[in-house]
Amino acid sequence: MTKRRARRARSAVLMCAIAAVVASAGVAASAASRVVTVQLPPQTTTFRDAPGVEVARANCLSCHSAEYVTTQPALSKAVWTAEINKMKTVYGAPIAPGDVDTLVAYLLVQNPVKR
Amino acid sequence: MTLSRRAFALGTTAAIATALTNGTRAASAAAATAVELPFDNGARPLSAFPQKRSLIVLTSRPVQLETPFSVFDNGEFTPNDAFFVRWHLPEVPTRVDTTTFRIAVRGAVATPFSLSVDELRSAFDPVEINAVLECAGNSRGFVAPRVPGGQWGNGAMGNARWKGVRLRDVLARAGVAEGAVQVRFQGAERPTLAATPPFLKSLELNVARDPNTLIAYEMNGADLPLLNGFPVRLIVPGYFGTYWVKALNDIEVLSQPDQNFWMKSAYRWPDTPNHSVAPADSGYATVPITNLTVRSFITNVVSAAVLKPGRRTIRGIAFDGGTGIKNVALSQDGGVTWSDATLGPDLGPFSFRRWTATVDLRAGSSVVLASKATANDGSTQVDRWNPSGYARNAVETIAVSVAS
Repeated sequence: MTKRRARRARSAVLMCAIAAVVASAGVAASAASRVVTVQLPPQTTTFRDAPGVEVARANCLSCHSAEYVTTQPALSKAVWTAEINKMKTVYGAPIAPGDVDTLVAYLLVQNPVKR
Repeated sequence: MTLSRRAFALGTTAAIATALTNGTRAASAAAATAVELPFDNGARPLSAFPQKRSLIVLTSRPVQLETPFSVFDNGEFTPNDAFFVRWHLPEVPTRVDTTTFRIAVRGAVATPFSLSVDELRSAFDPVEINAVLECAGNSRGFVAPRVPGGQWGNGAMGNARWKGVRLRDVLARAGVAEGAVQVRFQGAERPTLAATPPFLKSLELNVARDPNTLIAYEMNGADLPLLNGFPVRLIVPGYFGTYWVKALNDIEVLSQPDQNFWMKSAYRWPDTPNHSVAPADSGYATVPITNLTVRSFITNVVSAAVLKPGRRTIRGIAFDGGTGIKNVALSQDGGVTWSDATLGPDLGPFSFRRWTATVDLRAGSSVVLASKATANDGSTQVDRWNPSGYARNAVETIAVSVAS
């Protein structure tokens, strides 16, 4: 019973996966050479205009998309400062010392949704 | 405690209407272009990435996609095109040629070597295992007080049947040196900046040699989607997804414990009772996160649903870090009283396990449903807080009303 269920689930999933490969836009696959190429969709989320947005775009978006910032909950100045320092010291982001305060100020106001 | 685990589809009133009767929501929701996860800043676009159906976009670069929760009501296995995606570094591989892709085995070994995917498939015995892959940050958006990090709902998890070869067989061919302590893994993702540390994860040697630890080349009977690690990824049943390195191409046996950032600083949690601390605490020791915590979810009722009176079947899933599910209990009063649910087929200790329970709903009553799983090791769902929001497994509640 368990095996039959599993087999049934697997074959359904398999058909689903094959259909997805054939039907999806942006996918090229060749069974013979087994080369898979995908084209990821463009980023659609952008930083909201507020003082410091140019500094944020220049420093943040080279390594990650805007959602890394815009999906965060309301965070304190201390937490945002720690995040920027982590970007500098751990991930090696070349943030100029003079830009840290500008970035913190921007991050604190960039998201108007603070319920 | 969570009020709701479900995303309500925006952009179509039909989706919201069907959400109330549950089970038929997915088809209508497919036309939606956005969802609102039930926590602050929970608005997310939906988008169909390559080889994927329309999923919840957490971030686009590095790409992180969440499985809409309704998928989990459809069975124990999460379809490949619905399976969540989480990469760490921005340069995600977008082209893989298996004729040139190589997996290196090196470090503290007698005979370093590398092999192609075809060689991997033909040289070692195939093994299949059902196992849940869950991101350590799954459900972080529900953590209170909120913490920074990937703001996932409950869809950064999935269950699949994985097929591959045992890592220990591959290691044995290389000959692990005396005194080796860990094995470190790297995949094809890369940072943008040279200064960014590469994504490296290590397992203790005994975990690497566990017969369930696989290098997988199939998922649910098909190739892995590229965004899930094609052509091969590491499978560490019972462990959080951070160890399940995608597009695995480098295996290094270490004779000293790994000191790299992703082991020494990241993916660690408090070494305290229940791995819990208060937000103001500091100075405690930390340990790497390893095993999944036991969880259960109701999959066929959404928060704020209006249910018909009479006998209704509540169903859901449960899983733990590899001992298997002993019991699932259901409460209709928000966790004051509990009664046992009926467990579905046992598909192995690392798999999702289905469960059902029958409730008799009285018209006009307010019902707060909650499920609680207990694993075979005795562990159960607990409320905890840690600053990274890892391994959430609190009992969650779904408030519904009953009206004819």
